[in-house]
Amino acid sequence: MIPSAAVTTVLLAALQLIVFVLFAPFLTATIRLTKARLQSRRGPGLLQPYRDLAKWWGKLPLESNASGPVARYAPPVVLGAILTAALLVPEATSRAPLLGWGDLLVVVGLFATARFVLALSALDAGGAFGGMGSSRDVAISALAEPGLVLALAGAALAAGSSDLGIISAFGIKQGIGLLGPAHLLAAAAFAIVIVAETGHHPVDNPDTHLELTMIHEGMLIEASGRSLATLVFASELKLVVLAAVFSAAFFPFGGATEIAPGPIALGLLLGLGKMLIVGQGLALLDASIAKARIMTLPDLLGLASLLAIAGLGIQVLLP
Amino acid sequence: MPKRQESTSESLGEKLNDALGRPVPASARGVIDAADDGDLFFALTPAQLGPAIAALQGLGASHVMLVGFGFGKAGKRLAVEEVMAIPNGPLARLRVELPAGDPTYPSITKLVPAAQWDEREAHDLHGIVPAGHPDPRPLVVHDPAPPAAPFKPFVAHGDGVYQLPVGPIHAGIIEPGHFRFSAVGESVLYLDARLFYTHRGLEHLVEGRTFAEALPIVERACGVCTVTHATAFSRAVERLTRTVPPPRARLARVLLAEMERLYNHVGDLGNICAGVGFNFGTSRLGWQKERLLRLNEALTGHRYLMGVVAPGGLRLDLDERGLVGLGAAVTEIEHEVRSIVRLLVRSDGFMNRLHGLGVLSRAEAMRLGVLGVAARASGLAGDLRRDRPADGYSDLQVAQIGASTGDVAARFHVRAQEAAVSAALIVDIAGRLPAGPMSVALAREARPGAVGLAGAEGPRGASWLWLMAGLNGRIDRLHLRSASFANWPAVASVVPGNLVPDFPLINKSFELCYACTDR
Repeated sequence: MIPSAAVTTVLLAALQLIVFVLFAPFLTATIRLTKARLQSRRGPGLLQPYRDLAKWWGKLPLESNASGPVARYAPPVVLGAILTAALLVPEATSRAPLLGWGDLLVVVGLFATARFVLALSALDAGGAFGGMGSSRDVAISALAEPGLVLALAGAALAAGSSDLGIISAFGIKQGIGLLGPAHLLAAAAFAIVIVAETGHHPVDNPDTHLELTMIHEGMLIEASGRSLATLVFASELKLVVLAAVFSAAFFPFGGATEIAPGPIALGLLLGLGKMLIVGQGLALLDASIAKARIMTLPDLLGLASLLAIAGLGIQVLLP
Repeated sequence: MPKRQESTSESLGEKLNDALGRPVPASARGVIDAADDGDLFFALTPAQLGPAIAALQGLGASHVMLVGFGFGKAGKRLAVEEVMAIPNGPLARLRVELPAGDPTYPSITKLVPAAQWDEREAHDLHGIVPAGHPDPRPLVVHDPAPPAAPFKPFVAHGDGVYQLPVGPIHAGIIEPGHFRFSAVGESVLYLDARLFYTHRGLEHLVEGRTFAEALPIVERACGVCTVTHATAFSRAVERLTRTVPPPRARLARVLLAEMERLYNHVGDLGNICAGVGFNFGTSRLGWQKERLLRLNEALTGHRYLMGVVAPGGLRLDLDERGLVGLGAAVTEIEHEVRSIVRLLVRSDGFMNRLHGLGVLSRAEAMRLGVLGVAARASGLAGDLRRDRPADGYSDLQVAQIGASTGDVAARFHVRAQEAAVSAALIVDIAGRLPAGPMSVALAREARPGAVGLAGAEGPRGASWLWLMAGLNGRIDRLHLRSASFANWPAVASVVPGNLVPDFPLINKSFELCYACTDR
């Protein structure tokens, strides 16, 4: 029996939502654990991010005198944008839960919306660190955006569609033959963008206590209680979604091409495995290199754009 | 002190008299107090202070500290005493007793920029007014009683200039200090620092106490320079009482001072890594520091070496079992630290962050009277262990370490090399500590009114202690000029022109204490 499209959408969306929401703190926990082990520390347990979120969720946010409605309503908007993006990305199967509702440009746009609202809320609190953090974050994402779009454009050009599901299905069909030079260049560009977007070394230090060096943390410094829980969870989820986009566009192998429980379960496990690999890569970066001087970041992000453009060039000139 | 020095003092006194253009009172000529052990002492009028300092500067003398204190009945009269060090010569104390009811003297900050904070502190704590001080804002007391104006940070104004207030409450567990940045984009135009949040009034607290009662208080001015402060205090008491500690204690003090320097330097190298988020270095060096702290505990029963150094020698003997393995353990830790530093130096991403950052020029370091690692990384040679050796240092060769670029990288390298020198000294001494008593009784009572002046080279530079004896072997006045106090103005001075996110790194390359600055 083939389920109707509507039922499929609802079932897939529910599955993906539950898996992503439950998995996001875990992915952060594995990164922290690996980092701790690489520093010869025991590190917090894998449940610590869940405990943190639960603790913050139980507290009312403390608002600064200067802050208004923006700071209050921004956290749900940020989380909403990321959650919506989460449903536009194919994970277990090459069919995104919200099939046909939006392509990769919509995903990119939702990320941009989340960032814009977060930056606004950081400014709204009136603290100097919020302004500093948002100014830096917006500058970095403005530099990272071209790399992000161009890298995805490479994958879209090869598949002949900007729909992530079609790109993913194309990749699965191509198999190992997908990994041509153009494809790998675009994947490398996207990897750099993930580092920048999720705030890991050498771009940002996710667990610094040095206020003056903060980028993402600077924007959260005035948030507390439930608002902080929402924003921290949104950034944990963002890493999961970015990793899902990465695997759907560049390494979709193992994803289910049909809607059946067996292949979906397999695709899901493989998808989560790929996310863990992305996380471990970020943990390795954090542990093994220093944070770069802030004025050298344009070089790094320019490199991402350059790699993506080189990939596109190869694809256009040497089809 | 040898005879030769006495005669040098006399001739310097004559030179100073000539420079002043008129004879100073006979009582103030040259050495007036034998208990002061060769220090030059001059009683001057307020107007004579400036010319006398200029004359001493002509002899190459540099500022050590300026002490404000009350004397006379119930401390009603006020006085300032400027202490200067003549290279290869004695210390000079220039005392100005201020007239009752008018505690004003001409500020010396324009002549001696290094005295800027000393004068502001004397004003806040004693009400002594340095007339013509270029920056008469409060320093220690943040909100003085009216009509005095409260502290207001200096800020830059202009298009696109914004202020960034940081602290005194920080995101991490660090000491409190307020930093007001004026910045354009990510570039710092000006930095004004406000400290003294941990002012506990230690100097006032020890007044009227015996030396033994005061020692633990002075020692706790901060937690990581305990040997330095206890040693400076003990030496000052020993000078006042003409006590010479036994040979075993003299050498053991060197051992303890070098252990303190070593664990501080190793930890501070790790902290520089934390400034760039380089977790590898932070955690590896943090572990080596922990090993050193455990050696401290095995040696003295205290991880931070408190309660060991005391006037007359050491309060307790070093643990024999701790001493046996010390040399081998320190050698191994030093090798470990050296290999970590070698890996750090090979990391381009790490070293790139350090080079050219927070440059302290030689001229600026000299002008502000910078001490210790920061001075030696900027091409100055000052090191009390070699310049004015006391205790066991008199018979030891301490290798001179230095760099000339004055940036964060230079301070990093100087620390790394000094750690090796300290380790070598420890290994040497641990193997040949002479047998014998650890302490002697104080040889005599201190003469009331006499001043004992002593310094000790700590991990952050030379800390100086000025101790005026009172009646019955008690303390009348005490002033502790820590190395951090002398170095703080330099931190604020090197930051403009650097980027806002690089400040933590610059700050960590100086790694100054707040507590022993604030006292």
